[in-house]
Amino acid sequence: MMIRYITRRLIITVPTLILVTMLLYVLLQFIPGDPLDAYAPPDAPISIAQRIVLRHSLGLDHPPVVRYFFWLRDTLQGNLGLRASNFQPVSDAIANAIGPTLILMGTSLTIAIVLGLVLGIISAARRGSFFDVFFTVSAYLGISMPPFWIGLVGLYVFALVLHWFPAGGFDTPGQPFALWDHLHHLILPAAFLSVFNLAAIMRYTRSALLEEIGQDYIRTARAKGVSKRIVLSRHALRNALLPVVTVIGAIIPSLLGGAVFIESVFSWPGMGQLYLAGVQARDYALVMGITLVTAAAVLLTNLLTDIAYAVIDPRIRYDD
Amino acid sequence: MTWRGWRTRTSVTLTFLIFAFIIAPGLPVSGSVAAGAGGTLTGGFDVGPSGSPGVFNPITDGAGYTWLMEYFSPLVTYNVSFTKIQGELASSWDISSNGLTVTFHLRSGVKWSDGKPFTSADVKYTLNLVMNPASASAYASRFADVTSITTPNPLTAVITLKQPDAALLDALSFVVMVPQHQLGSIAPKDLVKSSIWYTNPIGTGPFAWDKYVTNQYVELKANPNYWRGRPKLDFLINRYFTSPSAALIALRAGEIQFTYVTATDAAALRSDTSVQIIHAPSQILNYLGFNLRDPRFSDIRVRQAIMYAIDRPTIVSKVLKTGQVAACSFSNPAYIPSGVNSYAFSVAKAKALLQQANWSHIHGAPIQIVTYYNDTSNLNALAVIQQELAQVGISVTIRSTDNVTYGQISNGPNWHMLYAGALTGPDPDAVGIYLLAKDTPPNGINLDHVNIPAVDQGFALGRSETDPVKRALDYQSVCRTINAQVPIGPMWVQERVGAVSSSVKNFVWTPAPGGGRYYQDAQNWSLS
Amino acid sequence: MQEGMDTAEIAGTVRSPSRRALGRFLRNRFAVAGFAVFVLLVLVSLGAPLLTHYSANALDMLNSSQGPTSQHLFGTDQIGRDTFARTLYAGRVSLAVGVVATLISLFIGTLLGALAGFFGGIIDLLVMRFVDVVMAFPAIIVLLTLATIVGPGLATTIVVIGLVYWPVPCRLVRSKFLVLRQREFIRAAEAVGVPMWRIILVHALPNVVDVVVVYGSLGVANAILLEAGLSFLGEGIQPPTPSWGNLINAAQDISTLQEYPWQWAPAGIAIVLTVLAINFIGDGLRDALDPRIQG
Repeated sequence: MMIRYITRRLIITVPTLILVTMLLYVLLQFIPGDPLDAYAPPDAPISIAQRIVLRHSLGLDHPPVVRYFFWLRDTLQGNLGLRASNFQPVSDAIANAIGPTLILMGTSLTIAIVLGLVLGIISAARRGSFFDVFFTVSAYLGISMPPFWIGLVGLYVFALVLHWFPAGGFDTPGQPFALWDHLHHLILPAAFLSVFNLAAIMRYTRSALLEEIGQDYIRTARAKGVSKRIVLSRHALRNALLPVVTVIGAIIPSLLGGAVFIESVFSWPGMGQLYLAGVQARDYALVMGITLVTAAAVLLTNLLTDIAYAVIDPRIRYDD
Repeated sequence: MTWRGWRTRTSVTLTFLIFAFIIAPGLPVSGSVAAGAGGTLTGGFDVGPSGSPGVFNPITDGAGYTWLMEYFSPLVTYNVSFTKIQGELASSWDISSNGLTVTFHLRSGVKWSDGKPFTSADVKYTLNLVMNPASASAYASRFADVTSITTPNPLTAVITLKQPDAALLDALSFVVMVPQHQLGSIAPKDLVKSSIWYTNPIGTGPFAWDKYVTNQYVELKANPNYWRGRPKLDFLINRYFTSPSAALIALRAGEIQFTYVTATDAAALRSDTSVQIIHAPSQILNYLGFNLRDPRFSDIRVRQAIMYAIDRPTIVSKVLKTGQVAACSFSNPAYIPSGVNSYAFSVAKAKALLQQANWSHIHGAPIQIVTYYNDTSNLNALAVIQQELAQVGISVTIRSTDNVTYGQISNGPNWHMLYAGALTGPDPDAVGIYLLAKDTPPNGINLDHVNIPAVDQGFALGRSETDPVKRALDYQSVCRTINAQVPIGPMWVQERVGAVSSSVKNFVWTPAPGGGRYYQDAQNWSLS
Repeated sequence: MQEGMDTAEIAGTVRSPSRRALGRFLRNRFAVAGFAVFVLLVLVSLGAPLLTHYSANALDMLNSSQGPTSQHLFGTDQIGRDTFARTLYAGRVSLAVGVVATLISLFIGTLLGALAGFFGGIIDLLVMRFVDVVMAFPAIIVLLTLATIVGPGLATTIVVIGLVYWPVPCRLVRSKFLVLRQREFIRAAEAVGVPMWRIILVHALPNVVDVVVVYGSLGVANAILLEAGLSFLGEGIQPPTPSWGNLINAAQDISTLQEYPWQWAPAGIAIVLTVLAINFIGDGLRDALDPRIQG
């Protein structure tokens, strides 16, 4: 039964992706400006003649509807078009950016999940204790500051004042590959990127656990003398995982598409920066290309999340 | 060229992308820096408003010259104070007495970074490329008067003009020479899209291309063939930063040796002895644009009242902290005549003018000032303008938006006022694009729809006048007209600031619109 | 209370004296403190004109970047605007955006999530594909488009944030409903012939309060900060109108960060207080409404 459900979901993925790109294309037409307006600074704009040539080189001289079908056709053949700013193939730009983003995302997500679960469990088990209140207040402190701003403060403190970490970047320019150098550059942005997700996972874990602890089967187990630790880990946690898994499933595509602010402040050459540049430059091909990748990630993680539900809680069925 | 032609050998399929997303390793970057005696200077050369990170085509690019000039060179360039044009690849030039023929004598012994000799054929190739609309050149219109380029011998290039063009040398300072032997076989329209600009560009500058690590940095190495001699530095690296504040932290942490900094950040650096601050006028005039098609602004008294209502000296000293109040569309004192109206802050004068213009009846809906500036100090300046205009009964709102949206709004018919920047030089002819009737949208960027015959005439005279003293008088008369009629409301010219580590010796940098059109002396930069 | 718990539960909830819930809420000191702080924040920003005679935008360039004094409690900014007044007025924008946008996304998300999870099958499939599309869509594009069509401003910002962020609560609520609809007490209610809407609203919905509460407090913080991010892109609340987010973002240079903490710290503290208060109110509400905890 599950196999049929998964197959059906996978088949729906294709029209969904096409729908997303079509809607995006329509919306892009409403946003003022096109790549030519971004080609030069506003205080020294480009000439009409230059505009016409560039427009043609970018294929912008076709009507939007035609352009969409050209885009779709080329994309199906594996060609995502060229960036407006420097005519680099969009697929190259994405291939260059996705590696750094996956590294950053993977690290920060690992930190967020591990610490989030552990701190969430502690908070729930000792509800109302000093730890609980302390973690709660810290979590909300962490998510109450704009990410760009808090990143800048972090850069200032850890790179400039303490000299513990480098001031942004993916590695030391011009140096041969060194694992330590990479890790050294990774720690700070990964830590700051994990703050919001850590707080979210921790709060959902805590809340779901409290919910489960209130359930009567837990009370029964406790009444029968099963230790609190075992009740928590064997029974409550498993069921509490549902919202936590949902949230992690929502975090993954959002991270892939852009830790825009953290990437900007830490000069991390990832998808978020690329995406921001694409939007600011009205670089249609780039925006479409990145959206295609993130949309595919959304559909996949949502499917994986739904499968995970059924694994966690066999009562969940999708076929009726 | 259709979309079909866009398939490239490097493109990957969607499936492949998703696959890469699952298995992609860290895409490690292999370095190639050999430890040399000269060392490596790393800087944020494309940070700030004049930078153009990730864009490398010098024919189409209107900015990023600070970096481009490290590996390309023009025929002529400015000195660092922008007071005169000097030879770079041309050692000298003669202008015929009728002003219609300009002969450039090229330096002998200049070689491209691949060792091939630089000759007048390259000059002809480059200029023809720039004048060919198919190359999408940013400067084609500046060479509209050129009828031919001839090369009597390998070290002489002759430009023939339809009419004298006093701004020709200024236009040439934008044009870096590119090699015919590398690019000549590529059609200009394909050159626009070529990857050669970021894989293997060949130039005549002090440094030669090494590599571009996408979205991270560009590395140049010393050009052993440089005609002034091999640079003292072995490598020059241009690191990319999205945020000037992050670049400044990298500078102070010792990771980079140079970056553009914001004026606010510069103020905090004054006490830091490890960093030297370089500041100079930006050559960008901040002005209030008026939509002259709007009956409220077609009344000169309203525009003058707005000038009187704004306390520009106090905003410059208290809010912007650097810069100078502007009198007209020029910033070079040579073009500003004595006796122009300073529009000294006067609420009374402003109110009187508004009353004459019957403002209380014609004011209409609140006026929106559109700007693409979103930094704290410019927005603060606008907040002050908003308050000061409110005091004389002009109600304005502010819309701060991105470059592209600004471009769309300001090119359209429905805006009220703008707060923007305009080039003021170094050559006064460059200012014409904002003020000439022929440059009214969609033909150009005379966004206000200024149509003042005296201004059109002044620019025409100035462009064809080869005697510098008489030429200055032509532009002074333009300045006087702008100052009196206020078709744009000149506010101020701010400074831009760079910061360089004190470990760097002989470093030369100055702000410029689009960056870098001056002699940088980069072969003498060194690290102590 | 062991056997027959489900029917007891139904009975308990149906009678559900809101008075009892209120009692439980009031006995929770964190919840009461949170409520008090939240009300205070709202009153203080609405009553700003009563608390300070400075307006948010009146400037005094001769007294710029001052430290806290008796005249200017939080000092002044770079153009001499009173930071205390700006922080108070900023609360109007930030609280409206944070609370209203979060309520919009919670409403849409809970409604659709409940329907999808409860009915399952084709309804689930369709609703969740709609969720996929919205999640796959870049928020920034939606915002730029809407701002272009209706113009930037407070309402646009609120609506856009609300419309973009509902898929997360939707998936959360659905995941709970997927389990709930298999539970005996729901099945029992169905069997007794309780109308569908009543089962969803009265029996099932109280069980999703926990995720709604957590999403609510995280979402408010997110929305408040997102507003500042949008202003930064030039499409949010337009300057010089202050919001807590853009007061902090104005301190994006090292000198302000170091030397003028009063220009950004009060806004930061206000956001933290708001979010903590909402969290504690939410926690208290969840406990008070929990159908299993009886008196």
